[in-house]
Amino acid sequence: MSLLLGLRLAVAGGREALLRLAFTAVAVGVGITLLLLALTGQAAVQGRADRIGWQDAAYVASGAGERPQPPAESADGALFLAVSDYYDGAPMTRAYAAALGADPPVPPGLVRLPGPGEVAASPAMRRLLESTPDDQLRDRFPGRVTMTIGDPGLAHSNELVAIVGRTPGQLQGVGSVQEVRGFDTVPNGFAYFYFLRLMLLIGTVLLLVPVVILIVMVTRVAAARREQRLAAIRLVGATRLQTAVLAAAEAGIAAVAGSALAWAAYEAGRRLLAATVTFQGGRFFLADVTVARWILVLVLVGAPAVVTLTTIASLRRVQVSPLGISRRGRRPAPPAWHALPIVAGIGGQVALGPLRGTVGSDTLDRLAPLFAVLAIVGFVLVGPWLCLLAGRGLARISRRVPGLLAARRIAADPRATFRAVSGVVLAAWVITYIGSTVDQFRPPDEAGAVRLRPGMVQVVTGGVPADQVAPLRSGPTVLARGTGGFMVSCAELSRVRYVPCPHTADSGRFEPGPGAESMAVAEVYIRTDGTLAAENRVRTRAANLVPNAIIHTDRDPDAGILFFAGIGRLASVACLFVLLVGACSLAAGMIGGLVERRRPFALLRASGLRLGELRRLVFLETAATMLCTAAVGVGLGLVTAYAAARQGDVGWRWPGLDVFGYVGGGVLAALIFSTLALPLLDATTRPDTVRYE
Amino acid sequence: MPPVLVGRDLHKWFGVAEALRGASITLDEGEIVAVMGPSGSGKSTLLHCLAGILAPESGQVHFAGRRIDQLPDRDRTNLRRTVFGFVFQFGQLVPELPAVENIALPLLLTGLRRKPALAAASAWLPRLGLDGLGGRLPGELSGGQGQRIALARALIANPKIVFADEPTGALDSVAADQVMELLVDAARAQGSSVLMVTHEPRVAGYADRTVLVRDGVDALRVGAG
Repeated sequence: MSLLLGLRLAVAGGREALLRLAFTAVAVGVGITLLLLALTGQAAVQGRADRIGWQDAAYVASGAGERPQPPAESADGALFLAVSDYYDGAPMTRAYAAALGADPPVPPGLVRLPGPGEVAASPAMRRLLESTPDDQLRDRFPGRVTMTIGDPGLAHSNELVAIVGRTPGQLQGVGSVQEVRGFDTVPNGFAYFYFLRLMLLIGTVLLLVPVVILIVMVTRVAAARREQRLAAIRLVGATRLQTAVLAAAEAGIAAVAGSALAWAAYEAGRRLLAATVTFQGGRFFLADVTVARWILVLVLVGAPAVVTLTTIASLRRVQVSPLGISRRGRRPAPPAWHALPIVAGIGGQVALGPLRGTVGSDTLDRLAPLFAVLAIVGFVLVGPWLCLLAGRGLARISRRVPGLLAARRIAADPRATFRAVSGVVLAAWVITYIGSTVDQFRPPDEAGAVRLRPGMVQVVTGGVPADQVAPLRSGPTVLARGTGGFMVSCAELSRVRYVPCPHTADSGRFEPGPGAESMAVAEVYIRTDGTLAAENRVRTRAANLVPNAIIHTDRDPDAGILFFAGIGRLASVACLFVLLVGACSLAAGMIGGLVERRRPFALLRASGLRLGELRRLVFLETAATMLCTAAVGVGLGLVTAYAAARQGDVGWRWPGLDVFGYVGGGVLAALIFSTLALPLLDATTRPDTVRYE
Repeated sequence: MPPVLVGRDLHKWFGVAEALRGASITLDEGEIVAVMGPSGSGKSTLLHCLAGILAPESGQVHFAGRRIDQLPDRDRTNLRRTVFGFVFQFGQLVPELPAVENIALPLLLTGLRRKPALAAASAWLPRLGLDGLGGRLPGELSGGQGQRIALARALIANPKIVFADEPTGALDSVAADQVMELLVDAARAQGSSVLMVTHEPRVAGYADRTVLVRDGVDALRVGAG
């Protein structure tokens, strides 16, 4: 009965009730949508890594990666090699495969392994091959293109990749070639990918909390008005339980509507993300930009549950009696033990780094999010205490009424104050964490990089007899010999690369000593006229002579720069999400605070408090606490990023000033966004409001 | 001596309902006037128009010889803050401020420093019978105690006029008497006029004069009894 009454009040309670319902539904919908879209980020990166994991099969089979040999999936193996290559600065993958029997493993996206004389190419590669002269590219892939690699084997639809079918004899003896039994879809253990995944995992956990806070804040906006109705219903005989059910039903229906909206927005949003976000040279496949069905159900059902529970919990703070609403008195200051979880969470995160070698990456995978959750819970517990300090500080320095009122308001209920700003504060934490983490991938400054001179082609052979590369030496060339360290004249090398002479101790290069002439050739530098065509002709010849050679020109982007740009873009999208959630929470918190104090504010204005002073009051109580707690959030972001870097075995360096600028700008933007709620202040607290309240 | 406050032929509409239909009233300096009438008669509307909270559609309000009903909101706000004091039925105290700071608010609003403002506010506590309760939040006070705090807040800045809208409406008779005695004594002591709206004859008995309002017009004036 209470349930039905609650539903009826929500949908047929007049214009104001409908507006409240719509506000709650939209805000809950925004929160859930952002969370779902953030979760798709991890799925998208994981999905892409899964699709191209086959390219690392030889690397994994060599035992160099952290993952063991992929499980056998075919009776017969295959010889396999995948090499990074470029065309006019665009990365491409050139792979070679030779079946070792009738039932070789098959890479995803193909129905069979290309046989000798056959080439399997991605659609983008096919187009490029058709539009480029043979001696510049086509000849690098000897054979006839008979197969197209499908989406399951491609990172993105523009990926340039081709597999050249060979006989086992052609590949035997080629450096880096490995026998593979299966093309496992599990990506290998490159530190970067592992780190990226860890970063996304922790980032998602960090985003989850601001979203929950947003939902809680939105739910509380309607609480003050709801409580008045509940008192009226208590007057006619409703029990506490009945009023709780009624309130829960009213809030629940808004949340269910929000979930439905979020589902629709998520479906539209993931299509938008797949169509617009570019990562490492291409857009994500729509099938990857999705969350697992169980997660979708959990979030869509969990959010209304959170809203309902929040509504019931918010009733605990007020005494809904038949004669009206009375708030419980002064709440005790947060106890000291509230600091324990954050100490444990942050301490655990930091401790995981040194333990990396002993506990293994799987254990790290499980422990890191747990400590992240513990740290966040700890921060939520400690936040009110920080607000209390901020309030006391503000009270001490305030000379005017707005400052004093703001300070007292903060100190009277630091929990409520922190709730209002916590979204942005956590956003500051998350953005600092993401920004600092991304900065770990920032390639060295241009000045420190050792780049090729224009027109030079560098062929890194890995150590081959001089005869094998003799055809490349028809023109002026520079050779580096040896395997452990490269022996090359610095004077000669400086003609092809921008290097300081003499060789520096950490360059790995030495002046040729006696017997150097008989050593294997490790690098060949070939001078061209600098045209794209000439460079590609050299590349093609080199690839045919030494299939496993890594070939570079000064046109090739640095892999680190590419990776950095990719995750930088992802990070920007993630930060935008987090900030949006935080700003929405802040605005909701402000609106909630206004609605709750509508009458005292209106009476203050009736007594002569100017609107400007009231605005300053509301702004101050938000800004003072936000700046104080955001500073702590930034500190925690740095510590978390440091811990993640240590866990991922990536060296730590301080983030650039741009990261701090980004955080500061974000916090400021959120603060400005929240002032959008200020016009409401005038409307809700007009002195004549005292007549109706 | 001319009246300190004059309302003349005041009309006020709320949608299609006319709350005031040509009501007129005067208030002399130091005078205590009670406005009585049945629910919906327009007595609160009259008080709000006279205090500059509402602007009447027609008619005039003069304070100390100056017309105030046409002043811009900013000037009316200044007036309310500097020369008027207010007591409402309930919910007027700022919930986060302790009692003493609630009392000091009008002084702080005028720019007085905190220390002297709080000192002046504290001096009111013994008079209110609230000695030692200055640090309590409004939620920790009884209804009568809260109303006495509101009363002190209305009077602390030495206003020319105190507007009281059902000041004892939420109190029992004992607490109501305490509040009214305080209001009348303090107002007389500092020469403030009081215009109070009430529907209780017992409360109106504290006034020098009673004005009855019916259907938006002043129906009857009763001299001091």
